[in-house]
Amino acid sequence: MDMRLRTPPDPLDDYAWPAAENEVPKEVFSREDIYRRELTHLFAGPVWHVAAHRAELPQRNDFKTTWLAETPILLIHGADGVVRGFHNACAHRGVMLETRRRGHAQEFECPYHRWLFDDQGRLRACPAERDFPPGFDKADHGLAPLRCEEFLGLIFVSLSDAAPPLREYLRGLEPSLELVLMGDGDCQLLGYHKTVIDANWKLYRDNDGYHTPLLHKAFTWLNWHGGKGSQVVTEHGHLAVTADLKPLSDTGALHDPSLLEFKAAIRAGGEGPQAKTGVLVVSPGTLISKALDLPIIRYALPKGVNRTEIHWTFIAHRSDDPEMLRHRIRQANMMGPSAMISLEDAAVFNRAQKATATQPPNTRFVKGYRPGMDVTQAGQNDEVGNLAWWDIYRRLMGFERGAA
Amino acid sequence: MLAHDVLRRIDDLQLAYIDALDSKHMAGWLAAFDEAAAEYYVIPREHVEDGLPLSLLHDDCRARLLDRVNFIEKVWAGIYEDYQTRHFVQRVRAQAADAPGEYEVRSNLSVMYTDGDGHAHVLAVGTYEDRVRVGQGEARFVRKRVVLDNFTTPRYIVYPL
Repeated sequence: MDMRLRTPPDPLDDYAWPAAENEVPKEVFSREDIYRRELTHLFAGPVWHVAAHRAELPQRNDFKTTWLAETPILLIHGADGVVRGFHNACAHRGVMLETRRRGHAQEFECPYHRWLFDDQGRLRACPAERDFPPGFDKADHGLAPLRCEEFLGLIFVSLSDAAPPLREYLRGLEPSLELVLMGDGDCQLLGYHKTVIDANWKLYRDNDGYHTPLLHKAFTWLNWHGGKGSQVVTEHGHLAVTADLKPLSDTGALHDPSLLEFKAAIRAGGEGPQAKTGVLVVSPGTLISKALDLPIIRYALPKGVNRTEIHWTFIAHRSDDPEMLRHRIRQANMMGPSAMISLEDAAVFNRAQKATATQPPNTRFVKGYRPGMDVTQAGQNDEVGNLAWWDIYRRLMGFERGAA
Repeated sequence: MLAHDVLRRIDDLQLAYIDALDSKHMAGWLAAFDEAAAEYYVIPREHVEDGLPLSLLHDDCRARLLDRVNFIEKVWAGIYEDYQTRHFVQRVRAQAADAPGEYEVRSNLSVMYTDGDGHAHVLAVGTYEDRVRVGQGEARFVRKRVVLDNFTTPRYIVYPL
């Protein structure tokens, strides 16, 4: 009798994705087994994840810790100027190496047996090494590295050797990233708004231009209408809705209309990235936007299948004068988890999560959809752009479409 | 040590303030602030420790306080998931400030909330770091700083703390 353990067949291998290309099963937001598969097929799969911006670890020897789903990671800005990513665990017995969120350190010491790692993740010292097995070489016991590449100061990491080079992954998104990162991405950190939504991380990332004027009543209240713009949908499922936006006129809706000034656009004479607005979904799970003078990176960090931590990260340009910095800080009242616009997003995601076990079984993307269409041709206020990423998701997860 | 009468007026202000919030009586919230100069901030403790300039709520003038009330009562009406709060405040320190009739007051704060399904949770833990003007009439806040120990909030915050 063969006593070897066998991997039982995974029922998800036969999972039937809806035949209709504009439908997504609601249960992908709530099934524990689907979430577990995402950890291996998607979070550890052939994609890149935005883990930080250089603004969060600007000086040499600065570090930031964060999570790639359930994997804690440590990003170190090395003394040589290079930012590297590692699994945040001692190479010896696996104790989490750094527990602070951000900081400055020359080296990282595990408290358990005092193994010591340098700014490039190399093992520098381990007590009682003479009692180790013959042939033990410190060079073989550095921190486990992540693939780590940069674009405009954004630090991307990947757990997979199969992910394409970052520039290929981002192809088509570059001009939009320049827009939201104020041209050159030379940014400084203003701070965070961190909150929790009781919803799956994919509900958060499915942004669309359809809901914007309908859910967010503040846009009407402030007489703020999206200017002439476009939506870009890339081959790797990134979305970018960008627009020209004229400085808003004071309609008397606010007692303090200074909050809505578009200072950078005025200073730039209405030209250049500082004079435009944009909302980007950098797949799989990061939103980056610039509304007026307010650039924000939103990291959606899954905490299980039905809970997501959102780290709103507010940045400014490094060349900002004190007046512009003060303006951006005040404008952070406009967009955020407890701000004039976007507070209501969380309410919608929480309500969607509560209703995943309802009929019909699938959620539908309708606005802008035509059967057989090329979804990369989505218009500025369509919701079908998301289908490009959903098809990538389906394929990464190994799900076949059912029969029509 | 501050005069008993001064402390009593400071405490009365604080209690009227939390009573207004727990009653969702935004006019009462506004009335706790000085008419001329009023500032209100909610600051994640992470930012205090790391020297980051951003606040979660940032009302640096009375016009911002008025706009906040308008958003709660008019713009967001019917959109957010409502909740009931209970504020608990304990004054731990009070001393005269550098301006006559003004006091720096520090209190511990906890805010519980009950969601629409009837479950109670902790919304906020932190401190009030207040500047209070005790004039001829009733005491008023000139500045109220809420420092949030729980800088990752369990839900979005609709009402001020």
